[in-house]
Amino acid sequence: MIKISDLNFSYDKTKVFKNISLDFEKGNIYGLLGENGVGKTTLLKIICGLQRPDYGICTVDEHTPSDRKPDFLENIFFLPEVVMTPDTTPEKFAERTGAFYHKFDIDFFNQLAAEMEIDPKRKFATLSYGQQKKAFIAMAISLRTDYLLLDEPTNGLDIPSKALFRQIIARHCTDDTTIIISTHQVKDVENLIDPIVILDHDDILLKAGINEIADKLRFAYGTEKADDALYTEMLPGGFLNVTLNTEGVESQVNIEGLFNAVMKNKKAIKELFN
Amino acid sequence: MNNIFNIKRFEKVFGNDASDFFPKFGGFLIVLWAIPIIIWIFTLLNIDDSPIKPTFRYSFILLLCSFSCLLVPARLYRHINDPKKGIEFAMTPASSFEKFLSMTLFCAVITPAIYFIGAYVIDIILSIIPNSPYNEYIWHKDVIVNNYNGNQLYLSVAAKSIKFGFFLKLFNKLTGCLMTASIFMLGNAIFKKRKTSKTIGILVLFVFIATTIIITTAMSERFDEFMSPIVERLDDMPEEERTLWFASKVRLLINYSLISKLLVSAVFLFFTYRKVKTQRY
Repeated sequence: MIKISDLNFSYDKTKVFKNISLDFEKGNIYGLLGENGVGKTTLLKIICGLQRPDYGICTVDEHTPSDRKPDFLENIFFLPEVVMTPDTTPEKFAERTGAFYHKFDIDFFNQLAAEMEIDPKRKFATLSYGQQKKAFIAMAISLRTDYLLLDEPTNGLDIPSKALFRQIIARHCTDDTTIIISTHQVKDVENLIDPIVILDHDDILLKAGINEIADKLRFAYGTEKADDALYTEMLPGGFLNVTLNTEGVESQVNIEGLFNAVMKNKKAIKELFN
Repeated sequence: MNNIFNIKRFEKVFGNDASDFFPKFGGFLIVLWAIPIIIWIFTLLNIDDSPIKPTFRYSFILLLCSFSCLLVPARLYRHINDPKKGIEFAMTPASSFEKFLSMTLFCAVITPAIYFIGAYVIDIILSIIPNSPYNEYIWHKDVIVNNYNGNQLYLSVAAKSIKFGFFLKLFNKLTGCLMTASIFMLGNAIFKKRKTSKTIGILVLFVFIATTIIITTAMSERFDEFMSPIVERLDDMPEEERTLWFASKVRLLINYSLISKLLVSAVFLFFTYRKVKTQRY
C-alpha cells in the first residue's frame, strides 16, 4: 500500500504539493488525472523514489522510496513518458533489466511482445516510436512488480494498440498489484481506471471509485442543456450534462466529462466527495 | 536480503557495466593505444638514430593510463544524473553502494589496467620488430636498472632497491590513477553537460591558485630564513651523505604524496557516493 501524508514538495520556489494526503491500495488501477504542470509525474517520481518530499511522509509497504533500497526497487517499476532506448534489442534489454527482478519471465515478455506485434529481436533503433513504447510496456508488465507506475503510457500508440494496452493492463492487475496511470488521454484509459484521482495545483480535487462517482454524479446525454448542470458539453446531436445525481439514477461515468466538471466546480466537487 | 551489499546483485550490476564497457569506451581505448604506435611510426619514418628510451615509454604509458581514467567516467556513466536518461540507473534494483563500487572499479582499476596491459603488449610487439626505434623492453632487467640512473637516482635510493623503486613508481602512478578517476567521477556526478571539460577547468583553476600560493610563500623572506640554515648544512655535507639526505627527503615526499593522493581519492569517492545515493531526477 502506498501512503502519502501531509506531503509537501516544491521545485526551487515553485510549490507543487502542499500538505496532500492520499492512499493507493492494492488490487486497483488508479487513473491520475490533472492539467499540465499540476505534478502528476512528480507524484509518480516521489512514489518510486526519484524525488524526495520536502516535508511529509510517503511510504510504499513501509519502505521510504527515496532511500531507493534494492528490496523496494525490485517491487516497483516506473515507465516514464519518454522512453530512452538503449542500443540493443528489446529482448536483450528485457533480459538485462529483468535479471534484477525475481518475478521476471522472459517467455512472458516474448508472449506480450508477440501480442503487441513487435519483434523483440530487432534493435530499438529500427523500431518506430510506438513500437519502442510497446516494447517498454511489455517489459514493464513482464517484470511483474507489485507497483507499476505508468506516465502517459498511451502517448505514441496507435488506436488498436491503445485497445490492446487496456486489455493487457486489465489482465495483469491482480489483488497484489497496484497500477497508477498518469494521463491526459482520458479516453484511452476509459473503462480501465478505477479509482480516479484528480490533482490540482498543490491539492487533490477528487479521489473516488467509479461507483462512488456514479452514485453522486449523473452523466446524461440529451438534446438540451440542463440548467442545473455542473458541466455541459456540446456533442454531435445533443449535449452531455454532468449534474448532481440527486435522484439516484444510474449512468455511465464519462471521464472526460467528469474531469471538466471537476475543473469547473473545484470547491463543490471537493465538498461533495469529502 | 542485505540492502547494502549482496554479491549476486553486485555481479549483475558489474556484468551490466562490463557489457557496456567496450561499446562505450572501446573507441577511446583504441585511440589511446594507437598513440604509442603513431609515435613509433613517426620515429621510424624520421630515420632518427636515437631510439625512444624505455624509461620515457614507460612514463608515457602511465601518463596515458591516467588519461584513460580522466575520460572513462563521462563515457561509461554519462547519464547517471540526467533527469530522463538517469532513471534506468537510479531504478535498477541494486544498492547505491553496489552501483558506486562497480563504477569505481571500472573507472579506477579496470580501465587503467586494461589500458596498461594493452599498451605494454603493444610496446613489446613494437620492440621485437627489427630496427625498431623501441629497442628495449620496458620490463627488461637492464631497463629497470637504467630507469633509476641519473634523475631517478634519488628515487631508487629512497626506495632502497631498484626493483622496489620500480613498483613504488608504479604504485605511485596507480594511486594517481585512482585520484584522477575519483576527481572525474565526482565531476561526472555533479555536472550535467561538458562534464570532463568543466572538471578540467576547475582543476586548472585550483592548480593555478595553489601554485600562486606556493610561489608567493617560496619568495617570501621568512621562507629564505627557514631555508638558509638547511642549504648551509647541505653545502658542508660530503657528496654521499648529501645523496642520502636527499633520498630520505624524497622518500618522505613520496610517502606524503601517496598518503595525500589516497586521502584526496577517499574524499572525492565519498562525495561521489553521496551524490549517487541522493541524486534526484
